[in-house]
Amino acid sequence: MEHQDLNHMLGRLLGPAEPEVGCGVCFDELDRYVEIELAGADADAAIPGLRAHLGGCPACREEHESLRALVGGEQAL
Amino acid sequence: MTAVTLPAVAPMEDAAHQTTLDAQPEPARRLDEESRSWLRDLRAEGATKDEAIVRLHQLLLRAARFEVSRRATLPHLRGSDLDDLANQAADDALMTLQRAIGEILTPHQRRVLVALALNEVPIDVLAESLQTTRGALYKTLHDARRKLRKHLEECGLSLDAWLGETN
Repeated sequence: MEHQDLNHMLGRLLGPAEPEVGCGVCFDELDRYVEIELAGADADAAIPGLRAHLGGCPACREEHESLRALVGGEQAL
Repeated sequence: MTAVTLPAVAPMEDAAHQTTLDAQPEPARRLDEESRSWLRDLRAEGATKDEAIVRLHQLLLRAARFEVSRRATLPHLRGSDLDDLANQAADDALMTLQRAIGEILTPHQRRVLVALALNEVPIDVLAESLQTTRGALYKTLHDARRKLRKHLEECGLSLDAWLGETN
């Protein structure tokens, strides 16, 4: 197995090292998080634990990417 | 369209999705002006409501089209399974981890971890087949990960420095 693949797998097995919020809090706060991010401010400081959760939860990460791309795309129009 | 009772959530939130989350009351934070205006129009009667539903439909359609075109450009993720893990038995940390998965996790934790982290089953798919919620499954995954991390630390193996290289 490539080092990269091994890292990917270990990352998925062990998850984020730092404290994280759950999927429920993530869902409630994700829109605010994205708005803060796109405004160029420190979203991680504003909503602690959400960035870590996105690192550990592929489903929430995908929603974050979708929302960020959508809102960012709209702003760029 | 017949009258529908709209849930008190922001327009981009999906009511079906909402039920899969941790049991929690509605968000305590105040809605922004745009969300309030959506709710006002959608809760109104007659033409205002009809017009708001049309606008919401257009917005969601635009979002869906945007997402479909965005996903078309994403590379497909590769799969991996427990055999890959077994083939890597030369590595101490991995062997320890493999043994820990077999020995210190509960059967439910093992099942959830293997499905989500190794076989890369989407969490919402697993939630549906186990008749549970994303929030509950993630809690199980989180507990399993903590257990494994703690175990690795007790064995004197911390992988964070290594994992940090590419993350």
